[in-house]
Amino acid sequence: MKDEDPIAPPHETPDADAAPPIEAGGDFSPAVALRAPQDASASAPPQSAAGGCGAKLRAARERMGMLPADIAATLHLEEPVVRAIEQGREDKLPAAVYVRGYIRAYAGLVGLDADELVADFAPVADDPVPAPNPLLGAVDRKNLADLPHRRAGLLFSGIVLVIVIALAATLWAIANSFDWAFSADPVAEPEPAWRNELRPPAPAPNPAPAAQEEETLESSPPAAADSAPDAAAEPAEEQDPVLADLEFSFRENSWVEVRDGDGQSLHGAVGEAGQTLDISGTGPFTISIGYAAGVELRHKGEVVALGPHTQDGVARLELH
Amino acid sequence: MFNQFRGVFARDLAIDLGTANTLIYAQRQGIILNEPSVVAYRIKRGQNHRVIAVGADAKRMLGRTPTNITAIRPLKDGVIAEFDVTREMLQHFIGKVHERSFLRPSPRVIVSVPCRSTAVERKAILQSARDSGARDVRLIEEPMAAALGAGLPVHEAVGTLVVDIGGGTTEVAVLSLSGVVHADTVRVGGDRFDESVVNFVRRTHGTMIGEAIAETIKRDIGVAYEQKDPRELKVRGHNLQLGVPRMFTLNSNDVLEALRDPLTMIVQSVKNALEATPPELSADIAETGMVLTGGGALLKDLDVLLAEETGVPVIVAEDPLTCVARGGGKALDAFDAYQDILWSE
Repeated sequence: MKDEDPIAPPHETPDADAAPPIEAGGDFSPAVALRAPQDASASAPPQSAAGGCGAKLRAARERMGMLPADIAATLHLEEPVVRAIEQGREDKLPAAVYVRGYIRAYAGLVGLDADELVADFAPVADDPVPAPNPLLGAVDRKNLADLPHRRAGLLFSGIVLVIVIALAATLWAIANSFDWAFSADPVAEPEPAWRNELRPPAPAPNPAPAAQEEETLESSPPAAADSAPDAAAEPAEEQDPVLADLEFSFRENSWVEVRDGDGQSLHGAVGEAGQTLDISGTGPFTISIGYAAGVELRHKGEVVALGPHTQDGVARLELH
Repeated sequence: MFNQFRGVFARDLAIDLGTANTLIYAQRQGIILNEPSVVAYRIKRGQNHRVIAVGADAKRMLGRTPTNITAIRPLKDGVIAEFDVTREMLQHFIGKVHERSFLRPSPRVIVSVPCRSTAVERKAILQSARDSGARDVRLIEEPMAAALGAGLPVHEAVGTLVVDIGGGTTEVAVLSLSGVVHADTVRVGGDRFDESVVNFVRRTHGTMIGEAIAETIKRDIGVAYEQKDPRELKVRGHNLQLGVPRMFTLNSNDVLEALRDPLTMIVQSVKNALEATPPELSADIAETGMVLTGGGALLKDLDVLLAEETGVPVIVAEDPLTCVARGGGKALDAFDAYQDILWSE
């Protein structure tokens, strides 16, 4: 049991024989050295309560008949450090990480299980290592999924909520600060004195503005007229609010351009077959219809004959 | 701003971009990825390379690929040898640890670099990490990360000697007050140990063995100090004379003989570091000892060898393989407190 250790000092006699410590022990008085082995076996349990791994190491060392100086020489430590480890005197030891290293080396020397001893030694106070990490060393793919995703999930739902609210607080507020939201701003656009309306199927590049415009027009055409600079000049419209000034019904696709009395363009686009186009404004209107045969024009409810104004299929006329 | 928003979903990462293995530490989770730094890609004439495997999958292809597929280690001797491939590998790994993310991840990343890496190499790594989607990239010097990971008191005015033996390089550094006092990089590491074993077996047994077998030999019976009771291992190799596979036996002391050269280089580098250390710090080190980290620290009795050669106590850090990644992780956890040791442009 004792004689199998290669590093033990030259005297490999059984410990019943107290001779080796006396011969080797420059540091120890013979009396102390003589007593040591018995002490260790007798007082090991009470010491382990106080010193833990230190006592075990000491007991193992003494069983092998070694002195602290031997351990110190082999590990290149100073003897007081070895004694401090055995006595569990943390105040005389360097940072915990070193001490754990010493204990491992010491345990290897006297043939003890290093992990167990290091676990016993636990001065967490001056240890800069944070709480033990269960994953250290272990590469655990499963853990990739668990905890942080739950956290991320909560965060995610919270953020989605915020986004929904932000959207609901209407696009106009955000749209002002983020150019990517909408390029056209229905609020900022100056209110024109006239209204165009394309009824079904409504081509709507910007759904929101289109819908708004439609609403204002259908529910209160007078409002549009009021905002016009010379609304009073057209009392007829006041009487029959349903009728628009001009109404184009497209049987086939045709270009239509309408200018008002001031020469401003009220409309200029291709109307598609089946659509109806209402235009209100101040006359006299200058109208060009690219394909007169495919369009029926009403002026204040009355059908306008396009034939007389048509040349090569294109109708050009002025209406008052 | 949008990046910060995406950052909410990303896990901050510390990456130990090593020659042999890449380790990734995620905040509050520990090491979540440990894969070989190997990339396999297909070569097509007139086209860009297409990466077909990264990490463990690619490592299996090393030495077993047809001509149009190449499996390489993009890092050599601790520095980036293949910039584009390294970037692809980083992207792959960062993406892999964020596999289930809804948005493209945008984590904060700390990458460890060798002390002696040049500014160009550092910028290359910074750029690689940024290109792979990181929001904020910092670099930490490997010995510093290793010391943090080992739990050493790097912030104190006490000298600390760290020897980090990685796959490609061995970093020897004296640290004090969160700074590097002296650093030296030797291009010797686990890979060189394996090569030495291969060469030794060819020389003494006339037999070829692969690097994977050499690694097994090193791991199972490798030692750094003469053993009284050497262990043996039966090995199969390709006999050069007969041209057929043959079985032979190696023991620990044979391996020690094989490893003598690289070990001497490491010992010499440690001695140089001790020599170059100012006396005050030298006294600290002589008292408390040096700390071994990295995979090479697992070589049996390396601590005994170094202690014998230098007369300084040597301790092996706990879980030495992951020290650098864990140290980077510690810097992540206290990002602001560690600002002084993190490097960015």
